[in-house]
Amino acid sequence: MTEKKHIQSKEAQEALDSIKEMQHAGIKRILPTPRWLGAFLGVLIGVQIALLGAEIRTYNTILIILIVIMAVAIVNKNKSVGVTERIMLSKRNVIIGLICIIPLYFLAIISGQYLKNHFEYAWAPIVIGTIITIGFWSLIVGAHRSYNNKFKEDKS
Amino acid sequence: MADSKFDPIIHAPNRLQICALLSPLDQVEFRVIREELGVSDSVLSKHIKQLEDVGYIKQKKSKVNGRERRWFHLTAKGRSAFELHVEELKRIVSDL
Repeated sequence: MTEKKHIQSKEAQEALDSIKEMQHAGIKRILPTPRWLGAFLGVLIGVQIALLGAEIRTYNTILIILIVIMAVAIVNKNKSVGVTERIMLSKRNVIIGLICIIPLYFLAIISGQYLKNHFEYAWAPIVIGTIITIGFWSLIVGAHRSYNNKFKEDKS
Repeated sequence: MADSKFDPIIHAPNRLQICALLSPLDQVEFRVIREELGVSDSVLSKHIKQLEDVGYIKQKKSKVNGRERRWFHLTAKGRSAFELHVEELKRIVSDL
């Protein structure tokens, strides 16, 4: 009985090791959004907000096209390596997040326009655009850190 | 081993590895599973079918550059069964 139990425990341990190994292999396949890609997307969004805040619409179309291309590139990045990351957020949380982000985007543009027109702060749209870029960049860096921590935890 | 948490369908080495690979991810492509397990297409298909038959995994098909790709994910039932199975394995190990 002890022998049987020992074998079972050994087998169970081997199975657990195998599970750990495969989970590690799976996580290793997920690539976080490259920092340069995130930085570039952040700069594009920041520039768009700054230009719209300054009421310069000449480059708006090209900026929107570039932002969409970058966003699609980020979404398809993991698909190209054959895995997609498991998002722990529920659909409800994603919708709430979007409801918060979209007004924030317009608020940034309107704030830039308001500060420029009413107080003649010509630099305001640039500052707001820079803040948005830094905020976006911080999110990407945060995601990278979280990925690295998760990877290290899993490895240990 | 008589405990109901122990799942003989999941416990087979290749199927256990498939579930383990899928568990931290949303979806995984067929070729990735095959590469990680180091098995042939036919062997992998056989194990996947067994997991699909009991409703533990599901597949989605997509076309990339005209080529069909099969993506697999753990269902809620499969995830729960896998987690319970891992718990049971841990219990067996800790009982030593």
